Parts: sequence; structure tokens; C-alpha cells
Amino acid sequence: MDAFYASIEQRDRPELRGKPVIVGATSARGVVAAASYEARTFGVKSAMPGFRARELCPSGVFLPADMDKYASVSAQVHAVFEEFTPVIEPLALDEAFLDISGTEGLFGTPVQLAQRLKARVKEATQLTVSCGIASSKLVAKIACSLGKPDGLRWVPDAETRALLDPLPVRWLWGVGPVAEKTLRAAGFETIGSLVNADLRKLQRCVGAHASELQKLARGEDERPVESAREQKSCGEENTFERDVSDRGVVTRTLTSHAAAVARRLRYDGLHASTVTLKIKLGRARGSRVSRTRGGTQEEPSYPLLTRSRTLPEPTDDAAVIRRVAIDLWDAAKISEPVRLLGVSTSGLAAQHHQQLELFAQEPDTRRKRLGPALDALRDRFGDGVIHLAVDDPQKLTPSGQKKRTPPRR
Amino acid sequence: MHLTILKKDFLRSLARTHSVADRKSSMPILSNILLSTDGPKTLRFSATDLYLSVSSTAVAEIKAGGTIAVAARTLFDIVKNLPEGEVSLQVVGNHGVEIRSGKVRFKIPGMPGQDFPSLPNPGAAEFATLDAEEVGRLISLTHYSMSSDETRPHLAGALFEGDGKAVRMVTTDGHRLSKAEYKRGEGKKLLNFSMLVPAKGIGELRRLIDEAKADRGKGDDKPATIDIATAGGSAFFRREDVVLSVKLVDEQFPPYSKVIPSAQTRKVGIGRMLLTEALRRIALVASDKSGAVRFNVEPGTLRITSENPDVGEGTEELEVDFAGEGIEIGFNARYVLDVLAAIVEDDVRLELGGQLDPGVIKPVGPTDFVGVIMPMRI
Repeated sequence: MDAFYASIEQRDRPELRGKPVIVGATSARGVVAAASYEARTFGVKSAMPGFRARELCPSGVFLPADMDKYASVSAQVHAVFEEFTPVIEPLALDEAFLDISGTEGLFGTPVQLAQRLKARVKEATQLTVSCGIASSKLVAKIACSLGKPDGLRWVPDAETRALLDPLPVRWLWGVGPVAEKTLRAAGFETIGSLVNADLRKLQRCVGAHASELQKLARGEDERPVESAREQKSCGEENTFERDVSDRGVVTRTLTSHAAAVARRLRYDGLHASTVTLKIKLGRARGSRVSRTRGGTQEEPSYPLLTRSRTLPEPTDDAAVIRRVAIDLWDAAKISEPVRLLGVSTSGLAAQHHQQLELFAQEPDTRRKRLGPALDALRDRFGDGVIHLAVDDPQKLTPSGQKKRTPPRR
Repeated sequence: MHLTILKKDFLRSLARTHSVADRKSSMPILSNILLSTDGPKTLRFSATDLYLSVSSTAVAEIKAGGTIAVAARTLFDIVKNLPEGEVSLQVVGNHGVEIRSGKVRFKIPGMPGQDFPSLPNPGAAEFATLDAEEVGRLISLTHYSMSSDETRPHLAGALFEGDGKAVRMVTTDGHRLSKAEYKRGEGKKLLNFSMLVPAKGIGELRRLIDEAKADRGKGDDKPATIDIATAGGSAFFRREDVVLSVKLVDEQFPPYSKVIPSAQTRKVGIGRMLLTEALRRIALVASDKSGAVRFNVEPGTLRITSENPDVGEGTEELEVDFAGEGIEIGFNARYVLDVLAAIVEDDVRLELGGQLDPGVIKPVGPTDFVGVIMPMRI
């Protein structure tokens, strides 16, 4: 989809059409989630820090992201995709690979199919979508990016090399800012320069990844479109507006992350066997190079710590995830303010057979039934209908949190 | 402090104590063993992680009394590798420890003995004497169903009870439970105690008992015994000169007797190894995480089935002694295997109620043991 979130906002608020619209970046530490094409002429790009976007485009309309709305539009678009093929690999809310092999009998040539798909998306959502068509995911994605906005580009196999060869190496998957720098230093500027490069020389730049990179440079990408990728982890994280060191805020944040993660696990019918706590410290140590479409820029680098624990038995219970996350936090003995906190779970598996409990009436066991009961209430009456007392440690002292002496001011 | 001691006595006492020292603690002193002289002929060894403490003594020739704390692991490794014979230990300037044996000389840093935390003291508590072999048996029969979840301390340990003539151990992780007991012989005093011993404490108690049993093999004909007492929230286990103290779990053990079924309608007699081998085979295709297998009991046969959409399916039919109404019930294969591995008798009885009622496994024989397993919904 083209400038997806921004386009949705412009669709729904006609007064914004023709104006530079920037979604996200409304808070001090937010980053740009999407920029309309008008905003892009100012140099505003996705993932750019908010303050930078404001510098570049002071006249821009900055809007908070309405993820629920975008998700529902995304579902509409996805439904249109399903009219054409069942083999769909979503990459993001606004991006997907479609395997259209064998659809010629129904929709004609690939280009005819794409034209029809674009028209159907427009009809269903009043939004434009760009399509790239090729025999591999790599080339299709590049063709799509080059055609934006409202593009349609078909790259037959014979034309693949002509398309790829002049492009800078960073267009290839696996080439990040660091790899790009080393490749360029070794004289590899374009994708074409990689095709016949000496493999050993390439290995010195990118290591074991070299031969795969060379294949990609030739346009050889054999990865299939995977419609059902196995879910590996399920997590929730946030960056604080201001760095946090108060344990009460930390506990409350971990509690709410644990609740969100547990709810999603239950929704997907999964149990997790490992809980990981992610902490980004507030004080930057050095900087790192990050990539933007126009080039690279230096960004402060904040140390990232992760701590995990494998549970004795898999769970989808918020209280268990919360307790482990808080335990990990305490064990990490963080003595400085943190910038980001995240809770994620992995080792996910469906629980086909439920293990019954010996002490079904004990508080410990009864709590396991709480999650599903809360889900049912919230599904029916909305998220605000019920809260756990532990969601607000200011009011009560939840178990696991030590009784605090009167607040220090 | 200056003394001489035989290497074998030194090593024996270190072997008993060094494993309790806590190398990962944020208190460096806890990774040490405290050596202290106790009269002209005795050297005392103490180690603690603040939850578990152990002390032991050895005969030594004390030339000058005192105390010193020494890194447990280092000292143990050094003494283990010394030549046999007499070892001299002397505290030198600035809490250094000099160890000499023949032409070998080591000097390692120590810490002042008075910095070492004091160990729990049984005070005037009355010790009761138990048969060490029987207590060891209780541990072997029940240790498998302790919870490994340290965030649930009331389950991550064993309930150890004296109930008149009976001495009993019960463990549960919430899905299964095991209970073993033995009756004390005629003429023994009635005992009443109840303690919740954390898993690590059970592990150390087992070592103590194994040592008692090993000593008994060396010609001493008296039954091995162990003395127990509780005082100030700790349990004390004493055997000869070794005292193990364990900080007890101050939580309520679940009401276990309520969940042990007493009148199961279906009783299936089966060979222990027969069932073990069948389960090991069929569990190969059980789902990794849950390990669910299905038991179909019919008169004369037990059919065990497992299926995993990703792997395949397997089934095996066993001849059993059963004459009642058939039933289909699901279990975690590992839970059943754990019970079967704890039992020593050749034959077992599987007792079942309804499909969602706990299953019970008992040995056919003299052992007073019950293994309870909650089924899985299949």
C-alpha cells in the first residue's frame, strides 16, 4: 500500500489531502510510522525520529497512529488479496507477497491480474496499492518499491539483471548499513558489481553470507511464499516518554505487557515456555550508523539487555508471565534509568491436551481460569470493563512487590 | 591458628561441606568454608548459603586456636590433590592461609572468621532418631514429584511428617503427587512433627543418608540412623559429627489427603517393566510438550495409543489383570514413567475412577506408597 497510514488519514479527512501528513512521531520519542508523499518531498521518511521530521517539515500535520483503524483497513485489503490467491504471506499491515502461479486461467496474464487487483483494492478502500511482479520475492519487492506510488511493474526473468545491476547494494536483503559500508569500501557499489565478484573477496566483507548474497545479486531467490509462517514469539514493548527508574512504574509496565502478551497467546491458542525481559538503558553509549533511503545517519546507541527464563511448564497466564518478568527485572539489578521495557514469550506451542490440576480449588489453580474469564468479559463489553488491582500498584500492594515505605519526594 | 591434620580427614570434612558454599552469592564470604578450632583435638568445618548450612568436625592436632574463612572450592581442590599423609595449616599475616604437606606449599588468601555468618543453632531442641535407610527410601520414592518452580515455594519441596508411629513424605507439583510412609517399630516413641523441606535441603539430606549407608557397608553392623529436630524455623539433621540445617518453607502445603482417591472402581494389575517399556515406545510419537498418551482399558487388555499430527502415531496392547467396565483416559507419559521408576516392586496396580478423576499407581508389595496423577483431557 502506498503511504498506508497517511493515505488512510487523508482519505478519512479530506481537508488533509494535498498536505504533508505524518503519522506517528507525536510524542517526544516517537518515530515516523508513515509519511504522505507530500511530506516525503520535505525529506521525511518512515522510522525517522520525530524531532528530525519536525525540523524538516515544520508545516507538517502530525497525527497519532490509530492502529485499530489501520488494522481493519488492512483486513479489508487482505480480503481482496484472497479473491486472487490463497497463498499470501503478509509482511506488515500494508505489505504482502502473493503467489499467483497457476491463476492464468482465471485472471489472465500477471499484469491483467495486477490491474484487476489494484482496481478491487481501490474499490474496497479508496486507497492505492503498488504491485511488483516477478518470479522471485526479492525482485517482486524491488519492482514494487521502484513503481510507487500507484505502480505496477512486471519484471520478466530476462529483464531481472537489467533492473538489479545498476541498483546500490543496499537494496539486497541482508545488506544493512554496516555491510553496505564494508562492501562499498571494497569497491562493491552496485548489485551488478557483486554478480561476478571473487567469492573469497566477498567473504572477507560479509562472511558466510557471501555466496547467498551473490545469488541474490543474480536475482536468484528461491524462498517460497509462505502463507502460514510459524509464530516463534509473542511480545510487547514500549519506549517511555521519559526514562524510568521508579520500580512502581516498571512493575506497572511489566504487568500491562504481561497481560497483553497473555491475551494474545490465549487468542492464538498457544502456550509459551520461555519469558524474556528486554531492557534498553537510558544512557547512550556511543552511536551507531542507521540507514535511511537517502543514505546513512548516526544515531545514539542505547545498550540493550535481555534476560530470559524457561518455565517449568508452558503458560498463557498473565500472572505467571508477570511474576517471571518482575523476577528477571529484580535479578538484573538495573541501577540506572531505562528507556524501553519489553516482555516477550517464546517456545510457543498449542496445548492440544489440557493437563488437569490436582488442587482445582486452590487459589493458585483458580487463577489460571481468570485469564479466559477476563477475555470473555472484555470481548463482550470492551477493554475498559474490568481491571486487575495489580494494574495500579499505587493503590494496592500486589503480591511480589515489597511493601514500600512512604513515597520519597 | 596453626594445626596439623591427616589429609584423608581433611578431605572427608571438606567433601561434606564445600558443596553448600554458595559461589554465586552477592555476599563473597558465603563462597568460603569457615575453619574453626574446637578444643585441642578438633577442627570444625562450616558452610552456608543462608538457607542451608552444614557443619562437620575432624580430628586435628591444634597448635594454636582460631578461625579463618577460606574459598571452599579452592581449598577442596588443593586438599584433594595433596599427597597422602599429614597436612599442616597455618594462618599467616593478613588472613593468609599456608598449607604444607611434605615439600608442597600453598598460600591462599582467606577472610576473617568473625565475618562468617553464624549458623542456626538447635539450642535445647530434642532430637528424635530415625532409621536413615527408611528416610532415604521415602526420598527415593517421592522426590520426582517435587515442583521445580521456585516461584511456588510451597510445592518446591517435600512435606516431611511424623504422625504417631508413621513417618511420611509427600511431594506434589500440582499435577501429580506422591506419598510414601513407613511405620516405626514397636517400642519406639510416638513422633509428631511436620516440616516443609525445600528441594535443595532434600538433596543434601539424601547425601547425608547415602554417606550413612556407605559407612554401614564398612563392617559396622548397627542400622544407620539420623537424628532430627526443629527449632526457630529450621530443621536439623544430625549424623555423627555432621549437622545439616535447613531453613524450612514457611508456607502451607496443599491439603494433599483430600486428593488421594480412596475407593477407585477400576483396578488394573500389570508388570512394572512391561508398562514402562510400552510407555517409552509409544511416547516417542507423543507431542513433545505435553507427552499425552491415551490408555484404553478393557477386560484383560490395556491399549496405549499416542498420536502427533507432525510425527505419526503408535499403539501397543498389553495383557493386564482387569475385569471391570472399560475406560479411556489420557495421561502425560512422563508422569506415569516417573512413578514406575520410583517403585522397586515388580508388579503395580493402576487404579482408575472416571475419565477426569486422578489415577493412582501403587506397588503390589510391602512398600507403603501411592503415586497420584491427574489425567489429561483428550
